[in-house]
Amino acid sequence: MQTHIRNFCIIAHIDHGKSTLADRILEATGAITAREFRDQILDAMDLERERGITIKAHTVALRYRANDGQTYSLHLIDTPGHVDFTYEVSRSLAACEGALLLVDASQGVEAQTIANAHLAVSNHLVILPVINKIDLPSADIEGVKRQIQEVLGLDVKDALAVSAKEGRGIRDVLEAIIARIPPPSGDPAKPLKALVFDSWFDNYQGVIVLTRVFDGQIRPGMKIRAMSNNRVFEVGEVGVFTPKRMKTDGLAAGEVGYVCAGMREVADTKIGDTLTDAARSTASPFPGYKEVKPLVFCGLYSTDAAQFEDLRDALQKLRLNDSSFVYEPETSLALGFGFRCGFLGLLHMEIIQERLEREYGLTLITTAPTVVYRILTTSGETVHIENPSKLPPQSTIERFEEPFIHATILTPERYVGNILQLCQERRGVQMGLQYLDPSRVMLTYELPLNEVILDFYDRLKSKTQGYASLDYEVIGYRESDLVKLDVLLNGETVDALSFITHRDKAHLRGRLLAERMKEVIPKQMFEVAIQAAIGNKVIARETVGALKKNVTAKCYGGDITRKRKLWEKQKEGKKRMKQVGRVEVPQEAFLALLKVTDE
Amino acid sequence: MDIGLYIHVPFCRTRCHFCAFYLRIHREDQARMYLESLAREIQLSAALHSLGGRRLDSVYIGGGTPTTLRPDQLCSILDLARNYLGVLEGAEVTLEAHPDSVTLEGLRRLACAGFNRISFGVQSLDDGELVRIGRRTPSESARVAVALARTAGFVNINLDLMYGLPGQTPESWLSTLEQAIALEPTHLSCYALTIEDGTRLQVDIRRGEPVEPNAALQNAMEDDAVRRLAKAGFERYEISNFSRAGYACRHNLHYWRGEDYLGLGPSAQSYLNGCRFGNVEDLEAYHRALEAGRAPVAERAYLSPEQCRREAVVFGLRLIEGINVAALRSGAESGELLHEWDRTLHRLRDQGLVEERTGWISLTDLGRRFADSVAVELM
Repeated sequence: MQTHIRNFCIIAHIDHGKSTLADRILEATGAITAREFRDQILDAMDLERERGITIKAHTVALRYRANDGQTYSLHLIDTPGHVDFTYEVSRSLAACEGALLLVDASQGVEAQTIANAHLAVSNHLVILPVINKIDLPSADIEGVKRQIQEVLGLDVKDALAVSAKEGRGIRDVLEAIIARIPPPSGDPAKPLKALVFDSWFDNYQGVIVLTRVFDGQIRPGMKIRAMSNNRVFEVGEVGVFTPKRMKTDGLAAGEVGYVCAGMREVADTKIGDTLTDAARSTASPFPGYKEVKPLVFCGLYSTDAAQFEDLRDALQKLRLNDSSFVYEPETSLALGFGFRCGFLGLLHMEIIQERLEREYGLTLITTAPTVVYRILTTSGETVHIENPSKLPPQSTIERFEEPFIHATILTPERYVGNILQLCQERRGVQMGLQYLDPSRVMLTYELPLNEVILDFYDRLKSKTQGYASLDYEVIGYRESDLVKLDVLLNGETVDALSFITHRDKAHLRGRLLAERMKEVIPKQMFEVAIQAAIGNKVIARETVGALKKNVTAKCYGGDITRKRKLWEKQKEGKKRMKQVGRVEVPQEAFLALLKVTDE
Repeated sequence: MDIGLYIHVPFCRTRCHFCAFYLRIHREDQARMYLESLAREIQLSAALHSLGGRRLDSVYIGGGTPTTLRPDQLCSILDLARNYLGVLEGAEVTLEAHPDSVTLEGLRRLACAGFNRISFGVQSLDDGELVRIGRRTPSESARVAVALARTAGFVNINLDLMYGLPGQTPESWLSTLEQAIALEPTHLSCYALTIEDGTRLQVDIRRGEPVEPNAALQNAMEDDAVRRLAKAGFERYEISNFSRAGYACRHNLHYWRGEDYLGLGPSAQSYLNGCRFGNVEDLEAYHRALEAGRAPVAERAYLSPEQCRREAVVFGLRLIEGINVAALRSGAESGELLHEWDRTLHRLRDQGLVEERTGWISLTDLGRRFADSVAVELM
């Protein structure tokens, strides 16, 4: 019965307690006992647990006996909580009728609170403001309510105040879900119309799809069609997570659950896709999936050339679970055979890199991230550049464009000066400055994305003692006066170190990069000249002096064990180095660019 | 193959500023305790270690300053080694000594007891340099000590020298070398001063005085030593060691050739049958273990055959003769490893660090200067 179903999600800024609230809801509905409890059960991957970020959405079916004596079926749909995954969030929201907007009682509204609330509003969800962490001494429930009302325009008359940590107010939240979030209203008799909002690869079942059925029903044995590519699959199994996986006879209009249909890779059906009955199509599919385009690219190379195939296998496996990252082989003169990989954002990039090293035991060299530049050549061609070393000659460039973002930054008032300065340095254009209350300010800026991927977030955090929050969306390409900067080691260009920057920044960045490289390149048996150049023009030069000697004077029985250990350790360290010409270059050098924007 | 025995005597009268060895300032009661424990360890070793019928072809009593012990105490150590471990007829028996701590009578007694090689820690023959490294005795005492040793019957005499000392100049180093050559030793060890962790010298350098040894200057001093000593008839047979023909230190060759040795006394290290083990660096703990009948071993590592082979190579390369290619290749664990090795060696040859001649691989002059870098490659 649809009247007894509620589909909802929790949206929040990072660290505002989303996972803890989800845990308490699971406990309160008896889905899981305290004994079974692994903290924050919805974040399944270790990385998510460590970073406290939900990367992949999950969903749990709960049964709740409400104060009215009736038992309701609740579907809690977890959403990723980071700017890189906005599209995934929006699809998860589309599967719900309502959202709990969770705000930290001491932190107040943050950048992702706003971004997520806007997404929820544009998906026509009923939003229940929930103020969390009221147990904290610094909690300011009234102030936060005022912010929610003024900044987000939401009614806070019935805002709930809870402490997820202490389990206070959880029952009120559940009652509010029943009372205020509308039940779904699809027609079970119509042809199947189901929204795909997440999928992952399971070694035994193939692809598992999370779906929300809007009309009709989905049952085992049925033939379904993915409307994005018209491929037909036979449904093998359907069910729900409680949070344990539990088979059911089917999913009917209004319900949320999983479907296994013999899909072999995640790319067989995209997030946002509509599933329908192969024999009887729905007349009104969803607007269709959006092809999520990678925004940030970097080169990934194994330090050991022999690991190239292992790296390829690992990338292939990861992509089974994450169709939003792309990779293709590339060759670097400096680094050999590797892959150019594209990601939704920096966090996405870090997560993939970390998984490659941790889960697949690879030792990687990563090049500095770059955005995708767009070039109109003199012959009228449009070219996308994902690797700075592939830039066509300057003389053939008619128009050089870079992606811009619209950034929203929320900060305590006292850091505004620091942020203005930072945004100014990063070529930002201020679009707005609004006081949310006397002590909090919302800044909006348009910024080139390439300035943001260079350490912007860390700088923002350090200039505001961690208080500022950032959210952004890409607003398109704009023409810029850009140049390519090359780095030469002992006269040889190191292609993996080339980068594109604004002409006004080129000299400063070139100089800082050369200085930084000097710090990270160890002394070798010969002198190493580091040069930064635009075209043929050298704009900065540093020299790493030669090592004069490296020999143990006394080496007898008592020294041997100590020496062996030391040399074995150094040998391990050398594995992380890459031979460029005769020069041994450590991994950090390829990321030195990220550390040169400190002025 | 016969094995070497090292005995660590952890006492000195004072600690020199560059020294990081495990030692105590000498006290009679502690020396007695040490000797008692050492006797136990020698007996225990005889029972514990399968020396496989091998006997000692070298005994080396080092430290610290062994001659802080009385001659009769040193002789008793040698007697114990003879009785329990078996010392070959004609074995090399070395005693390290401080120039200031020997007497003619004592040296006679030691020579009589079978010590046939004496190694003096001279370091420098410039009084100013000696003072700056914390040595109170003037250079004259080294000349006296060598003369006494010779009178007492020692033929095989080594002098330890250091270059790159605070305030040392190329001229004063050459002068030390000249004076050392004039003393007619059979063996000279010339060490580049190295700043070890936890030394007084390290602390002083951090405070700004003296300055750290200059690597380029040390290189020049090394070249001077090689040149001057060659002219005086000394053959350089290891990175820091020079000898007259037939006087290479047999004991130390065990270390560089990857051969077995047994180390006794606190902090002493051993290498027996593919196992490296080291004694605890604490006199009291050493004593307690032996009192309880336990071996005072603090650390033990069993090496794989491949690790043994690699060690033998990197330490063998410290010898001027280098290592035998056939020996290097036999015992490699797999063809793949061997192939990887060949590539590494090829690269090192291209870099001018190693050379191959008539079946032997050795370091070049440049390679000797970067022996540790080469070792890292080959480890």
